[in-house]
Amino acid sequence: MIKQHLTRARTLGVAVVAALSLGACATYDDEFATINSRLDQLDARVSSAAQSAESANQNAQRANQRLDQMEGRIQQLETGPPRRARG
Amino acid sequence: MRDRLIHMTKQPIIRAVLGSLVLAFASLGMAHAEDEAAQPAAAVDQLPSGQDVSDTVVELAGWVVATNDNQGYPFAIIDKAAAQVLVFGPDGRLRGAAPALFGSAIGDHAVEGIAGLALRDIPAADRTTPAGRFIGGFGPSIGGGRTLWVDYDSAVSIHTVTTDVPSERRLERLASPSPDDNRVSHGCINVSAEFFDGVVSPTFQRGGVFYVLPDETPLAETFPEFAQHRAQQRNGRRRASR
Repeated sequence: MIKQHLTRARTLGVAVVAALSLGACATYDDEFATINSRLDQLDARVSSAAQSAESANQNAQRANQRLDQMEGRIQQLETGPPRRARG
Repeated sequence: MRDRLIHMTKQPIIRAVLGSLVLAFASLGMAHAEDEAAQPAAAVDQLPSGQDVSDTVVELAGWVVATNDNQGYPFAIIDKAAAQVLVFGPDGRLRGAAPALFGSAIGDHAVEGIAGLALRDIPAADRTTPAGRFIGGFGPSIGGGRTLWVDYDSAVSIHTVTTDVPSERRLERLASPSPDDNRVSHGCINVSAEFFDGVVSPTFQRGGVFYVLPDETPLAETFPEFAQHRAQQRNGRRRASR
């Protein structure tokens, strides 16, 4: 009787291993699909282009000026007089 | 007694097995939840099947990220020729890509005073979507409520596709895979409601930068710093290959 239960336990153990393996396969497939999705491929291309462009210099002072200009400009848009958009 | 013993032995084994199964599937579920959290909730790819994104767009996006030209703000790259809008988060991660409609006139200029004209009074040749780098953001508009301005000075905004004039067939043009029929507006950029509400609007709530690629104007005039960087890179590659 105990032997029968041990056999059952072994069977269930095999089932656990199989379930985990299948689960892992599903995760791998999902990841594979994600990696292959067009947006992810594009993201990877952009990251690669960004790495290639890292040598591009930017003057820190000018960057700060630009940030100030941007913030000011965005605030102006929020509060500016309304106008009709060009459809 | 023997049966009770077996019963006691059996229960923990089954419990252990079931517990491990539950844990296994729960951990898989958690992994998926983390993946979803890492991805922007509204990431959308609406580009027609098989349509690619140009190297210029990719290189410009990479340059923006590398030089922080967006100053920590979200940005969009708008390719009129391919009729595409690509939206990036402040971190440079792509949040979505979709087809769009643009001004009916080919060209990159914005006539002075155009913002003050009624739509019907804008000459056909001036119904352009101007090219360049624009700091945009939401603001009030006449008749359109809170509008996301791309170029406020020339009254160009990005919004959900309009269907006020049925003969323009804007929805059909947006749905067609060809970019050739996507020139129909007076200058504004039209995207699908799903893309605007799911990607564009939430991304640009606090403003951002819009890079509109030119139709005809040389890239060196529209984005001089990027064009200079690109030329240097290409020269470097040529030298390296010799």
